[in-house]
Amino acid sequence: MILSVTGLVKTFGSVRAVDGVDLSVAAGETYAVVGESGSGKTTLARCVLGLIRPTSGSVLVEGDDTATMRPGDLRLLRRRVQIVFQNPHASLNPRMTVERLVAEPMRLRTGSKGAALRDEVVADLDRLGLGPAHLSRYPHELSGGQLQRVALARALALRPRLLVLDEPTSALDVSVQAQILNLLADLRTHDGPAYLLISHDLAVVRHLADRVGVMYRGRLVEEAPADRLFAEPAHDYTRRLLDSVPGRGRESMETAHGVEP
Amino acid sequence: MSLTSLFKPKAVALAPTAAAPPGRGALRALLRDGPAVLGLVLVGLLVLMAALGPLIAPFPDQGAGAANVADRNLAPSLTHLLGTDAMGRDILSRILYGARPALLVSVGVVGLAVLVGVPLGLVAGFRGGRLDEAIMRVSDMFLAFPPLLLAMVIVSLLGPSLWNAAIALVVSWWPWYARLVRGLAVSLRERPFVEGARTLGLRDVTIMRRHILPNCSSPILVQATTDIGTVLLAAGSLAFIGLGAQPPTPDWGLMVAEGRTYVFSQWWMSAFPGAAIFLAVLGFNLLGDGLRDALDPREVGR
Repeated sequence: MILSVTGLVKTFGSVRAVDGVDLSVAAGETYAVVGESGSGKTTLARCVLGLIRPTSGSVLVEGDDTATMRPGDLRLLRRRVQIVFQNPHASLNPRMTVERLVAEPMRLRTGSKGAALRDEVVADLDRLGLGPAHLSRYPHELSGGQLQRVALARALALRPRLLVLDEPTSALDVSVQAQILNLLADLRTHDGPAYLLISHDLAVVRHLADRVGVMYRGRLVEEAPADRLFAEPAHDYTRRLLDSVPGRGRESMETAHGVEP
Repeated sequence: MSLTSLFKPKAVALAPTAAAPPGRGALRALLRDGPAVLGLVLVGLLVLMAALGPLIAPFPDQGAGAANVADRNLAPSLTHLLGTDAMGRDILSRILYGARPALLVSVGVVGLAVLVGVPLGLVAGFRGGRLDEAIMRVSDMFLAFPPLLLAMVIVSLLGPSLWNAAIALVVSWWPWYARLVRGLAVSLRERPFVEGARTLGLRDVTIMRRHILPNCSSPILVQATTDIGTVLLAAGSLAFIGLGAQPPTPDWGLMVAEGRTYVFSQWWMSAFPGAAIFLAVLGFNLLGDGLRDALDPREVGR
């Protein structure tokens, strides 16, 4: 298992944002966590990334427990898990060029410098469909789709074992969303990382996911292979989620607010 | 406005400029802004005077402080364009000689205040917790006193000299930078690009230096520019009350003080050095305001 989450609880004051979640992601697998806003899926992702400490429960990355690690080791462990955020305009340092943005993690992995480092950056960007003309650009000079490719290049430069995708397409123009989704699907075939996809967009989930966990009020209420979940949802809440979407699972399900399971 | 509030750094906008790096767009915006251009010209003149003053002064020895009793109290004329003082020294030469220490002291004081305050503010804002509390409470102690008053107390302890005045001003100015940068760092800390830097497994020092500091640079630059003028005024004020530069240093504040007993008969002794201070402060203020507008991401149409 690349990722094993056991009995994860995270409370903020009296709010139990994540309330006893168990899930695991195998190598090469895409696991989608779906749920409405406030269901705890982003908190779950932040715990997996080690950005916040869980209140209880454990997060194991390739068998190593993040909770018992010393800060220095935790820093290195984090490099095995990377993230692509929802809004690439906010997730890339506006004062860095594309080259520097990708070179920063690349150098951590390869230790290269100068021209060799630049070649590695160019090669990775090329794989993601960005030519060398973009190297000297700043984020504000690129489109949302191009920026999300840069964010992907930055995350993949460390060759992580697990890539957390936090609503990776929902801030993008509809015309660009499909390109990024296809890119994500393509990357998975080349010995790439496992994906933990956080989304409320059922079309995205259907396109990418192998298995789906449905999150509601901090708990995973249903977990099933993607085909089965869409074909025959077992849990009442899941059914309502799917029904709440016009055209059944083709668009957002944010409208399912407040539905009781 | 109270007298002491004149010597407080003006508060600049607290919004961190997580925006494009200031480039030609910002420069163009600055050059389209009339008052800012005037500020740039005044600051440019001051820099020129500081660089070339001793070379172009008509009476170099008098500029440096040598008395010339035969020509004392002369009104402005073709030989002495701005007149002479009570010891017969050419006031134009004195002003030209005075530009260099005035500029060096104010730039040096602000530079040191930035060097001390910015790292402390970065650490306080980024790390938070007890360290933040400790740093901020210490800086609050300094901020509780008006900067000029605090500087006066420190100079009284150290003894009056230009050096001690500069040290005193650094001590009273650094907390403003710590507070400014702390606020910026707090609001940048939770931004996705900083969290992203964390997931790369970078050290805190690297994140602060590479991801936080560059996004604070515009507000720091604006504040520092305005403060150079404010410190120049404060250093002049300390000299005026005898706590700064000592005679025969060609210090503008000191010259105003030396001329004040003659202000109704030989007005030029105080008026011209006073005007030099005024124009220098005005220049830095206009330039600082112009930079704030030019670097504001909302104003820059890029």
